[in-house]
Amino acid sequence: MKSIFLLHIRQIFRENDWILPLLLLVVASIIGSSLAPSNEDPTLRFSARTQTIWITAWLCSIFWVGFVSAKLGSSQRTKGLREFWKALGISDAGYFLSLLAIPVICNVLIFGLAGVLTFFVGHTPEVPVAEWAYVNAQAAFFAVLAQTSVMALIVALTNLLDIAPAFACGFLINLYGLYGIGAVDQVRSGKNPFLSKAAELLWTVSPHLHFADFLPRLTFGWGALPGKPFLFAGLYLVAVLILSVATGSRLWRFRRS
Amino acid sequence: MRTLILYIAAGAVAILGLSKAQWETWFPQNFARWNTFALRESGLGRMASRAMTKDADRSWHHGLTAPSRAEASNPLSRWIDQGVFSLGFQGRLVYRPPSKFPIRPSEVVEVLAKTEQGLSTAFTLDPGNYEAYDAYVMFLTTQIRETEFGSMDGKKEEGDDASSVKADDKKDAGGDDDDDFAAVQRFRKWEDQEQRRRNLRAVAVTDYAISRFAPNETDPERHLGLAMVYYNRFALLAPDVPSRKSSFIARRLFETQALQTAEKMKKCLQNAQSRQQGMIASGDWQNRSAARLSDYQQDEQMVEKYISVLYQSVINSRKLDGTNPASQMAWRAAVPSVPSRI
Repeated sequence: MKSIFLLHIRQIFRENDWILPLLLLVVASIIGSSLAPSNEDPTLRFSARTQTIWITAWLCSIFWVGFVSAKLGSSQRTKGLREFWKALGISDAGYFLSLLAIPVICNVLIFGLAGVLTFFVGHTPEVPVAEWAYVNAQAAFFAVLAQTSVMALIVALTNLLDIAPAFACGFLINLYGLYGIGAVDQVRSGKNPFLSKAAELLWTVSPHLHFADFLPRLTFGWGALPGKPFLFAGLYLVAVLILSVATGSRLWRFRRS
Repeated sequence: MRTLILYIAAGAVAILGLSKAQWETWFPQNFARWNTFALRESGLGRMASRAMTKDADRSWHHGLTAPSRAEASNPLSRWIDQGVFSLGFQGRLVYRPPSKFPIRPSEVVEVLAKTEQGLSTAFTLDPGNYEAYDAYVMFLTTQIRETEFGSMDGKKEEGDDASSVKADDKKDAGGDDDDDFAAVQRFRKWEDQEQRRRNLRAVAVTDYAISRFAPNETDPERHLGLAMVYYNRFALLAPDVPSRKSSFIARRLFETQALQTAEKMKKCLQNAQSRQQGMIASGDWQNRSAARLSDYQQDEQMVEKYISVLYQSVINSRKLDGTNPASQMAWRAAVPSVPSRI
């Protein structure tokens, strides 16, 4: 399992395309303030940097890590690696988790770097340093948890689909979980009883990835998420992660190409 | 079996976490949740809005047209409308109030272009409608002297919030009066060119309104409107006061134009009165609302007044032949506020 992980992580770093998200995050921290009218309101530059860095981090995670996951999973079948590892007696679940560790590492690096950059360049003087560090750590933790669930499904789907459809599925899950679910929330609070009930059901079973979106909290300086909601939202994301990894393991069962 | 137990346990934990996470309390009371990538209030959002101006000229993206009111009670449509509203220019006015964040010259230019487009459309749809014509010409002939982002004369008004914010910013940035002066100069140059274009457009619009007027028009109000269009044409094209003071030919031209315009207006007034009589005889006139009848009466009096103003201005112009300052003052007093060039 360790060999699988090391083999592919070295391959990812050898290809050098990891430089792109790194570069984008650094550029975002530099040009972020110029996207806001900070000459009119100088305090905006901190929020603008924070916003730009975290948007870039999410886009890098959704697109780059999503693509890396799809490519990684797909290459196992196209290069005949599944048969090779199977012959060495490695279990499907262990194989799957070894591969999944790679997008997790990528997400940790991306969101961790975003948190560090935001901590240094997006810190508003009025906010206490400890609180600012805490809210950034919360944001990075939740983002990694949420994105790991999606990446698990992308990797698993490549056992059945090609790169593009598997990536598209992950992208759509992200889109729905982060933003589309806002529409469901509005509909469930509407006056139409049938629509409300249907939306309530959908709301319950949908992946609430938006819990991990700390962008408004960071941008508008609402401070850290209190302990109780943080604990239960973390529990929820962990449970979703377990469900997606379990589903992914089932989908990742060995089959001959 | 183990997988099933795992699913059930994870599902139960997920539902527990979802129910206890208190998602509703994560945001302040008045926070609108539909704010993808925090576009509202952000420079990024405004930049995207600018970038889409050309292609989305008539769409909600730029938001210069007010979004239509949501008539449906469908929650989905309400959600969509909220999204539209938050991204538009209305959102800019709400979240970045002009009192604190002055509207920029580029925004002024955009709003002017958009307003002109709307007025032009209304006029083109019905060139014989005096209300549409008058609003359009008034827009074209109104000079832009003062905008929300600052005075054209380079003087900032005392107590003006927008100016004071800008002044504070400049103080913080070490002051940059040269840039401010250059900006005013640039805008003044644009203003001169724009005013010339607008005046030419106003003349063209007036000629178009006259050419499209149907002689067999039965509505007396429209004949009164035509009379005022003739008056506006005279106001736009007549020689101005300095040229009349200095040139004998300009004075004669002015008199000729004024008399011709007065004759045309009288003819329009007669046409209107004859059609009014016809409508009274047929009983159609009494079917009109009291407000409309009152408006007609006021319009009729206004046309009569302006005809007399034209004759009076001819008399005053002749007084300019002798350079008597008192007579000039009398002339100024006789001219109403609208035709400032006469």
